[in-house]
Amino acid sequence: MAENADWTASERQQPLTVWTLSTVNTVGFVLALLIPSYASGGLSDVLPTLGTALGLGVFAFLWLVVWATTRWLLDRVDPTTDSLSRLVLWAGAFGSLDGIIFVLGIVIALVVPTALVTSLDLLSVALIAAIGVPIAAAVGAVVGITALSLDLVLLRASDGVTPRDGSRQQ
Amino acid sequence: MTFFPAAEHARVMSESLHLAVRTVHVLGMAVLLGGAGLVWLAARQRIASITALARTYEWLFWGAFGVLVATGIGNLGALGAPGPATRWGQVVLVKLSLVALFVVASAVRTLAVARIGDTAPVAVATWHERAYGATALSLLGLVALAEVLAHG
Repeated sequence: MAENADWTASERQQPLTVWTLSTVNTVGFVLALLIPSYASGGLSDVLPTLGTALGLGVFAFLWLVVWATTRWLLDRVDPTTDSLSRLVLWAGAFGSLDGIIFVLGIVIALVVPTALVTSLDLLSVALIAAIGVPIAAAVGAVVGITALSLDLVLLRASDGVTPRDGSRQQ
Repeated sequence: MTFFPAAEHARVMSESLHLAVRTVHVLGMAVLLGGAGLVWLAARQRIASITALARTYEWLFWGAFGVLVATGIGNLGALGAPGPATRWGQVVLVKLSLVALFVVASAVRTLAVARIGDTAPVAVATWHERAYGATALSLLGLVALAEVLAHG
């Protein structure tokens, strides 16, 4: 370990690493939306109109989806040895998957029940999903690549501070 | 028998939910701060299983942290937060920015803990002492900002 400072495959895939990176990415995504929105004054009127239970449910769903995709991603890439283009490709692909699962989950959990009890027909639901999925895939790809960049910085920084022997502590 | 009008019932339900969200938010911070203090104290005592203890804390830390952020946004909505130009709004922005920095620093700490072997030499105990001492102090700073927000 002292000779090889790089993260090994088993270290990358260990549950604590996946749990940490997925929570950091979820919280980071939410804060990246929240801070500029609040600073611009756009959030003060919107937040009180959103349901608390709904907001907590959406956050929990996002967290679950990001955890699953982070786990799959770290099974397939090695941030210390893979080329940058391969990392960007996989991060973009899993980010897109994240976005698609998230939007479809919202449609199934919220829009379909609404359609069943109101005049909103299922064709409109399909249209919402058809428009939402490509947008979610594109946004997800950008977010996925940004999250991977942050993860790489965190992995490298942690490598620099990990105590391995007495000499590394000084 | 007392009958509540529907609007009154909805108001009571909403207030109960907001109280529950605030309670969970406070409990989440208690887990983070109490846990960091405990690991720091254990590192100072040079207990043999310090890394195992730290790892257990890190699992709890990120679970509680996710809950804290979610309930924190819930609180912001429930309070009908004043705009960013007010003093309260400025303090919220400072707090959110510090939370973002804290996330980054905590992730570096956790990823380092995930790589430390179970056998803990004195150097590792010293590292834990510093890392969790800094974590506890940072959390105290965030609690102080939360107090400022809670009391206007």
